[in-house]
Amino acid sequence: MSPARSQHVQSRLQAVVDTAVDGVMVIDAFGAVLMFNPACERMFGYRAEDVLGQNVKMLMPEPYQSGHDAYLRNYRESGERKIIGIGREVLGRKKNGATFPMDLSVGEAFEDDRPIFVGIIRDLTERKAAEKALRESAERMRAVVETAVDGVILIDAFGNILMFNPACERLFGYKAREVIGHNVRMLMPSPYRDEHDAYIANYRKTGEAKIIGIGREVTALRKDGSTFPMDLSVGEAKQEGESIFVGVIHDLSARKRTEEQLAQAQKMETVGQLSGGIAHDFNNLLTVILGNAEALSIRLKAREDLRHLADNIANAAERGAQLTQRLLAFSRRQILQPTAIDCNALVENMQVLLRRTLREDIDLRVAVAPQPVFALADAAQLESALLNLALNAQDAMPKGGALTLTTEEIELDPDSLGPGVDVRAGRYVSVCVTDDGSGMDAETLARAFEPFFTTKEVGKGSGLGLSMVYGFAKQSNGQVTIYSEPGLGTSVRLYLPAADAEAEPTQQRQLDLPMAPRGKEAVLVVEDDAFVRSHVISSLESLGYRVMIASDGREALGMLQSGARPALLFTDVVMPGGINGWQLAEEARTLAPELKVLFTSGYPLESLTSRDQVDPNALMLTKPYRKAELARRVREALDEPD
Amino acid sequence: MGTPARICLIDDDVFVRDALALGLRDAGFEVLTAPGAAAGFDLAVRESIDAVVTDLSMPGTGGAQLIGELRARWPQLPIVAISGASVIDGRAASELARESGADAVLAKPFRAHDLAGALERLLTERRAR
Repeated sequence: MSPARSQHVQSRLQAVVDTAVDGVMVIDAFGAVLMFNPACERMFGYRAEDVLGQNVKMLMPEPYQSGHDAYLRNYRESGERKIIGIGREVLGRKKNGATFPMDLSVGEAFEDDRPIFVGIIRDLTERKAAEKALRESAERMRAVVETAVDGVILIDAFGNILMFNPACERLFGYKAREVIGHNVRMLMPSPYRDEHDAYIANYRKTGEAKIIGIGREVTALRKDGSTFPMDLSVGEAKQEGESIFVGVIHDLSARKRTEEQLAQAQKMETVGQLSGGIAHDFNNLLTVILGNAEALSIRLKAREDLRHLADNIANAAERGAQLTQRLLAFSRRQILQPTAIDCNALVENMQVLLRRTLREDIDLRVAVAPQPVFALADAAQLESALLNLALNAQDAMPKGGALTLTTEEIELDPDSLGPGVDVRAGRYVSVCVTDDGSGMDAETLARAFEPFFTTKEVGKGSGLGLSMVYGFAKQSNGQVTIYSEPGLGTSVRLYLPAADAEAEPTQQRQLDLPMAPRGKEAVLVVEDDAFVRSHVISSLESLGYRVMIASDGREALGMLQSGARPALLFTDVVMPGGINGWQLAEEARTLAPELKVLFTSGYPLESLTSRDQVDPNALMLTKPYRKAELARRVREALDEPD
Repeated sequence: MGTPARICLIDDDVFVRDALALGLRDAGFEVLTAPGAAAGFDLAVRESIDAVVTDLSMPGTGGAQLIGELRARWPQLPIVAISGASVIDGRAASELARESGADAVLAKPFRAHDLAGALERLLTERRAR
């Protein structure tokens, strides 16, 4: 190289070094600084002339400063070069004593056979600060995400789960490690699962992200297969050009439950208002129907075949009236006469009635509170509610089982009965009817109090039994709860406001009867329908009669054969068990010739005639009948001359 | 029985009136009808009647007021109140009827012989007095 050319190269290199952004420094084998470029001056705060010729360790903080001499000595003696060719992160020391992080790469060269070292220095202060800020920000984000009450989930553009926070673990029942790397569809039930695949595919094709920025309600799938409603809001972010999606999941289970309970309560209230409102008009319509049908029936005396059609209309009108009454009970618009009821006594009295009303395979147990418990309620309605519940319980135990009636006094506060079950704080008497029958699933349970909701076959129940119980409890300022498990049974608990024992004593309910004829004779009632049976028993007993009961003809004959001698046989015509009412009457009269007989039937007379079952001279009471009619017909039958 | 008892039947619903009148006539009563309290009271004043059957909830003058006025004028007149509503102005229909002076109350709907039976009983009682 010519001297002129060499001069050129020299000045070009000098220009490069002077304008380099990174610091460039040259030292000899003893550490003396031979070159210190302007970038070095900026970084260390020294001017070149302060540094040139000085030992480089002035630019190092401890412990590098002390270690540097030994390092160079070792190099000189052994030729061992630990740092050459390798960049590393070290600390520099500024003129003012401050230190700063720097990346130092060192190269080796020879000048007149003596080694010199070139150091290229990059100030890392800003990068470090940025990294630290980033790290801190990430840590803060992590803290937020880890402790968030809502679920936070991160997925990539393919739907693969990148992050799953502890709230998600709680909500879904999965550990993060079980889901990370898997497709998010595993957290969705069908059909959302398949929709999601299509959604992701569409997004990848068109870039159209339908859900971003919009919260929506979706259903999520837990590890155990159950589902829960959630509000999902999704945000999109870019990571190295690829989209990632952040999902924030808010569990809506509790809110849904409250909403459903509210809607249910509103529905019940609406039906109540509606039925209360139409009852009056409806009763007038029924009066017209009943009155005309009866008038028609009288005019059709000569046409027995047509007459029963009119009778059917009249009977249907009366059944309509009963339905109206039940609806009024549900809508809490019946007239209640609350008195202080001795619930223990009431339950024990009912025990007698229930034992005769329920099937024999029902084991009736009564466990009353040790001390007297008084509730403020209408005694007749409480009896009716308990009878309803007992009959429901019996129906839930087709193969028999235990039915338990219990009473106790308890203190309730507004939260005692769980969310959505409002109750005023105070003392209550709880009367509980428990069976060990078939129980109810959650869906049935949720609708159990709803009017006209029934699980029974058509014709077996009106679907108003529990609604009436509900209406009665609410109108009495009480509450009613059901606990049930499929296969384990059901427990219905009535809570009625506790009353003081000193309050006015329970009054005998006055029946609005125009002087119903009474008697003291023994009446054998044969009736297969438990509800009707219990009604007949209580009606006849309130009229003074002694009542024996049988649920079918065979049982009744057995009683007569073993010496029972009632004055009157009051029997249903159509009964299961192989012996109908006519046959029963015939056989009964051979056993007890003086026995009077009164038949009852809910079936049209014609269908009985067609089967040769009708005795034109027989006394017949057509169902449904009122107590006054029952009283009159029973008396008539008993007073008939032999 | 000699001459049939004459009943004044008051109900604002013409169909109810006709249906109940049919039943009462079939049971052997003579029936005069009126569509409201005022007309009913007028009828009772003009005609010689043996008993009154009146609805409780009617537009205008209600049944309870009518019963009160009838009772004030004829202390011995048998009066049967009938009602389709169990609650009237927040009060039990039966209570309201008895307080205003009715001798019996029947909840609609009812069988014709229930009404006839109640009337017969009341008329027999009155004859006995």
